[in-house]
Amino acid sequence: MTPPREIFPQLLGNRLNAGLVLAFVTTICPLFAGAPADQNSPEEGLLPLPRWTDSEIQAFRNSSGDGLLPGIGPALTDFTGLQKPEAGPRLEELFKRVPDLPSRLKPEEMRLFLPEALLGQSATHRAEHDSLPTPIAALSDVTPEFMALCEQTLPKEFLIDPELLLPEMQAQAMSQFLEFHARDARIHLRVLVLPKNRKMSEAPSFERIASGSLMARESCLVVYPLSEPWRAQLFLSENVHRETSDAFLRETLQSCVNSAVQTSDAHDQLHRYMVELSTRLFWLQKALAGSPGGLSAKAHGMSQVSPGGQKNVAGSNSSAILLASFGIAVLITALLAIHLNTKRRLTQQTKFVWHFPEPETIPRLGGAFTGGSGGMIRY
Amino acid sequence: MYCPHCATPVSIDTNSCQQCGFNAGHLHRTIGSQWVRLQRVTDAAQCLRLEDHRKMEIQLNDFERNFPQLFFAVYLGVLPISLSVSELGFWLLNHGAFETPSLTRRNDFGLLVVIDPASRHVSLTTGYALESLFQHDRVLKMLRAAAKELSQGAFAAAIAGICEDCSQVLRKEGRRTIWTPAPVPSTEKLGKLGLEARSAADAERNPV
Repeated sequence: MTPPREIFPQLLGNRLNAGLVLAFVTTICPLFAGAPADQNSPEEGLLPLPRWTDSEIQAFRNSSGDGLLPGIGPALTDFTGLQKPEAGPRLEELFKRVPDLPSRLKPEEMRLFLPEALLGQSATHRAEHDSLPTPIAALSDVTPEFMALCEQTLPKEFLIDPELLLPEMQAQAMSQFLEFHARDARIHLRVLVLPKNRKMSEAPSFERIASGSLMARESCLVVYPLSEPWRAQLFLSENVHRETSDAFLRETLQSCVNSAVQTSDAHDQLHRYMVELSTRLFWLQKALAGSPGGLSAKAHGMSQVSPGGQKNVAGSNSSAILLASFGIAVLITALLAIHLNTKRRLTQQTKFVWHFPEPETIPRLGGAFTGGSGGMIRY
Repeated sequence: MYCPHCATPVSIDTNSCQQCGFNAGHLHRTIGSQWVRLQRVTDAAQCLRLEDHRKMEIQLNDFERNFPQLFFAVYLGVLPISLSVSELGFWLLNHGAFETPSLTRRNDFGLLVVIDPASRHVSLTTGYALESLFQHDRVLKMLRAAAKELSQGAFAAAIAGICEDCSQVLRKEGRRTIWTPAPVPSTEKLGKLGLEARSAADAERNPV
């Protein structure tokens, strides 16, 4: 351990009064020696800091390069000017000079590294805004470009965040957590992060997400709308889903949401959700290891875990929708054909004009225009 | 053809019924020989509602639009015992001026339905131009088809059915009709072609 006698002169600089240093060392030395301090000392409550004299302060200000603040000159007393934007080089000017900068280094992405207070948006206000659920009518499907980015994700990337919604630190932490899970678990866990106001389409193509790695083995995919854990969708490989009880899946889903909503920060919510789910998947793996079906090496599809406990296979759902759409299309086509046929007949009836020949007829029974043609009945 | 009075078949060129001696003169003595003006739908027996009347007018307009030469008229009234519906139909088609949208329609292209709700008789009388299209059997068949509705008092529906049946018959016969042009006129004189000289002087200078 370095003796205190050698530390404090370095810390305080050569401008300190030697007497003050000696007094300070004399006072503080019993602490290092383990001796109890004098409780009744008259200097109790006073900080043993150096006191600069006026001559020392004046000499510090007159110094041109030896001070703690180099080059600011003796007249500088207002340090707030250092915080003005024009005081130093601007980041935007730097980015303009480098046009082919990666997107993560753009000025808007650099906000991810800055504290919230500097962005002019208080954390409390943001938390209140994020806690409001998005109305269902305001939800929109993810774009095909988003899905294309999901499909381009590498098989080893367990965090699928195409729009870079997570800051770098949180994204790194989440990726490491998921990789740690994948090292020890048979059921790999992946999370697909959605923006707050987006939702997945009715039948996402699991075959292509993450370069098809979902189909390669047992997997669990969480489609997680940021800040809204109650809208998270949980997908399990079909063989795992088939072997698992509905009650367990329902309880897993509920416990994950309960764990997430204990905090208001969106990133903490995601972290808590995934930790809970990872724990549950380990339980599930342990339980399935003793079941007759067990876990197979290859998955054949993905099934969604619904809150109501009903197993909802994505393929059958899409086929039902397809069948219903086909029926509606046939009905509309039939109605349209009937309408067109009726319209054609009516048009034909009204458009055709019939002319008949005017035969020369000899008048009968004294009638100028009719002579007893026709008929009569009694009804 | 059948006699309107006794329903005996009459020949084409007869002037009176050989069975009963009926001819137009008999009706002139009882009803008169003056022309009468009447609507296409004349409801003297007050059998039709206003709604039925309007619907019938629409249907008759369509009929006349499809068949520009023809008209379809209806008369509902309680007739005296001495006058049958066929006799009244015969007289009305010969002495009636039916107010159709186009006044150029001739009565020999007319179809007239006369209904007597008291005696429960109905007749359909056709003009000379249509008698080849509406044979007696076909007319009776159409009337019998409407008899059920007439017996139930649904006069508007019965009349609409008869009108529609007549339209179908006309369309069917119209498709069968093949237009045959008139024989080629003689070229001896220009007048045979329907052309006339501009003035008498030209005709004298340049005789065709």
